[in-house]
Amino acid sequence: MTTLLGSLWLVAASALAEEPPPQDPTEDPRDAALEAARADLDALEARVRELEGAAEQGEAATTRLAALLDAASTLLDDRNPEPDRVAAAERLGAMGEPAALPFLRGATRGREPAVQAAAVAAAGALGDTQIPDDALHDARSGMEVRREAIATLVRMQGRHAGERLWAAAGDGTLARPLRAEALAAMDEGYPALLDELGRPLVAKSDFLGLSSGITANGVAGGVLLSSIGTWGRSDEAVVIGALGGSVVGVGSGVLYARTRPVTAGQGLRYASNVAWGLGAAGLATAITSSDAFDLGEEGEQNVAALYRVVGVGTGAGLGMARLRDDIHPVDVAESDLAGVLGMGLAMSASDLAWAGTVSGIDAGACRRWSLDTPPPRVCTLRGLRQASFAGAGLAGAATGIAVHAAVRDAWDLQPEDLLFATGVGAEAAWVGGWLPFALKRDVYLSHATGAATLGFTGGLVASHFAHVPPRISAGLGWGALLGNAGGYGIAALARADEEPSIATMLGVGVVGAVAGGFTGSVLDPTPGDLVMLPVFVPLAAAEGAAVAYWLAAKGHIDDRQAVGLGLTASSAAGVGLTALATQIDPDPGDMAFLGTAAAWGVWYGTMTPLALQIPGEPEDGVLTAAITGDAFVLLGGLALLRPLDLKPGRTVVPQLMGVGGATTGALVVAMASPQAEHVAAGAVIGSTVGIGAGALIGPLTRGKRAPVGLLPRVRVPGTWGVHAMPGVPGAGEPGLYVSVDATGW
Amino acid sequence: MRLSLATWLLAGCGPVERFGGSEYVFSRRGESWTGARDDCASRGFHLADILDADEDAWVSAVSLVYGEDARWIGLNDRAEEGTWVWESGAVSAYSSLDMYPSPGADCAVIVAGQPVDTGLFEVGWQPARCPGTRPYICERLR
Repeated sequence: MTTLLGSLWLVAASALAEEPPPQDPTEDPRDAALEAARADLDALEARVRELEGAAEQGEAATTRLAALLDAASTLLDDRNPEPDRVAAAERLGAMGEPAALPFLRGATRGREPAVQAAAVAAAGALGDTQIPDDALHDARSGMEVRREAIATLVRMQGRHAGERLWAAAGDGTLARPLRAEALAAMDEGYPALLDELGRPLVAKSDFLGLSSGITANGVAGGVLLSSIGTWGRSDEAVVIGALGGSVVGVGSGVLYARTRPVTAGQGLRYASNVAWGLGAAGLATAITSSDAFDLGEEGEQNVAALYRVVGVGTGAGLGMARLRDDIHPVDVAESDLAGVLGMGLAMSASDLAWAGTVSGIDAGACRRWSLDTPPPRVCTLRGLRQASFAGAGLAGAATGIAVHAAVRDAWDLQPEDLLFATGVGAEAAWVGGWLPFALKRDVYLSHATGAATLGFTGGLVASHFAHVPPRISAGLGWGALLGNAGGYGIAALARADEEPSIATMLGVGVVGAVAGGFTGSVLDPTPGDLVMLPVFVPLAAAEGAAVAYWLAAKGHIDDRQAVGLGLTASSAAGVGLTALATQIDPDPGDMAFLGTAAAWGVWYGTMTPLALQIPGEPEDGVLTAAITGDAFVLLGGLALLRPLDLKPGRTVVPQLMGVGGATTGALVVAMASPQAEHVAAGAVIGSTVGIGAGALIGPLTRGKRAPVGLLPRVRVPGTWGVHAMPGVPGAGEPGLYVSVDATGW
Repeated sequence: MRLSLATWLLAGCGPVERFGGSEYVFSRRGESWTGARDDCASRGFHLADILDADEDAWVSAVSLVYGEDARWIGLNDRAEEGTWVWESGAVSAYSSLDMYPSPGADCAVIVAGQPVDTGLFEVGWQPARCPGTRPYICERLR
């Protein structure tokens, strides 16, 4: 029994908990019909409920649409009072009905700013960003409307709205105040998004770009209008045109920049275009004004004005057309550099090609030719040379700029490239300028300028393909300097003639440059090296010069050998110290201190013999100063070693006071006696007292952090005072009262 | 034209100038009088002879254009002191030679002076020592 009841319970529970199982075709057909009837009943009930819901929705929709119709009608009918229309716009915004958007968009095109602004705000309330954005960019909308558009986009607080605001802040077509307000709104309303996107790039004109662009526009305006005066044969009109054109040019540039931001690249490129136009006009003028043409003074002026108008007009026009695109300032610099290099190369080549033919010609004699016969052919050739020179410049510049345009994407000019190219160009100029001397050929300036340009260009190309670190460039320059000095010095010391000496100089200079570059590649100079070399190489050069001067004065060597000895000593010191720098890491403070020690040695070596009136020739004095300098360097070096272990930083105060004491001592004594030896004595005593006093009070200036000074701190009992005052003693000569007082001991 | 230019470049000379029935070359580099004579000869020229006032004025003016004050011409008294003859053998009664005493100066230069107010040029020939190095003027008939 229990089992039967349990089974019934399970069956009932299953029937309640689960859907009816699929009808078994073996079941009773009457049950199936009943179930179908019940299902039909349920469907009917659902349909009735659906219709009841639809009716309710239709009634609500009708109500909403009626309200929408009413508000939109009020909004769009401009015969209605403004407050009503504003209220209508606000109602539309509050409805949440997207169907209102077309009406709101229409309202933004109306004539009443308050209504327009309300429509913009309402559109924002409905979640639409397009209508506020359009209103913001619509130049016909008043500022009130456009500001409301910014405020609306801020209120919306959605990413899409924020992105539209960010875009507006960087939109160069917007007036600057609006861009600034948009940016400020981003700061306040979307700080996170602003951080994420960064500040808009073109929201503000770059000062360099703006100033260069406006200046170029002023120049262009002045050039263009002054040409009218030239053609009108009126000097006053030239001036008026130049001034007026400049004002117009600057003014229009300012107006342009008020509506569109100008980047550094844009402004520089515009200025570059104008400058190239003006430069090309100048070169073209040089062609037709040369002796190869005879246009007459008036004709030359007219043609020159025409060239300026065409050149500057074309440059400004091209620059204006390219203002739509931004460009990096380095690209502008690269283009200009390529143009200048091309121009320089071509002009140098042209000049050298003609140099042997017409150099030395007296152009004035050509122009003053007064005989009945035609001028000499050389005058015509000189004109052709001028024209060729200018024409080569034009063609070279154009070629250079064109080459840059072709390789612009591949060329990335770096500061270290410029450094290397400058080093190579300088050495090339040196070689190019001196080589004709060595070869006993005629010397022209174009030898040096052409070589410099060629070397610079080669350096740029080389550094493009093989990165050259700055230390290699510095090493190259340093090696070239030492090599040239040593090469000439050795040759002069050996009494070689001038030409072989120059040839030796150039050869050793090139070797030195290469060796210096190699040294730079393996030597990473420390701060100590960078102090040691500039301090001790000039010191060695000065000492070499002093010794050479002494030897020459005593007749041991001739003047040329003296020059050679000085240069050789300098070069040898440079090479030796550079080699030393690869092995040691000197302390910068120690090196600077030893340099000052040498200076003090030279000071005392020069002034003391003068003060003591020790007789001697000038060369003896120079040598004495050099030797004293060496001695002080030696003493300074010993002071840096144990046990003294002098800290160079602690000598600053004593040394400064020594300088002050020297000046004061010299001045004080000079007031009493104009004699040089007295003044020198005053200077020596003053500097010595100054150094001593500085050693005593130096520790006081360092406080507790530096309890030990150059000398042990001396505690003097009592209070001491030193007073000095200029005065006139009884003899009437100017003098000085000095008193020392001590109290309390 | 190109050939001439190359020739001038190689020779270190200026272009060939023309006056009357002659061609002239005004040298760039300096030579002694005999060196100048030989160089002119090697080019098929001779040291210039100046046979009348027009030619004198023209040569002087062109010489001024070339930028040198004094250039060798063919006049010399190397064979007999005081007897000045043209190296080319030409004979002319015209002369601008300053006849001040100049012992040892057996060759002549033409000196191009500065233009004066009249627009003419001060011209003159002066004796000079033959070994001196000076630019020179070559001439030949066209």
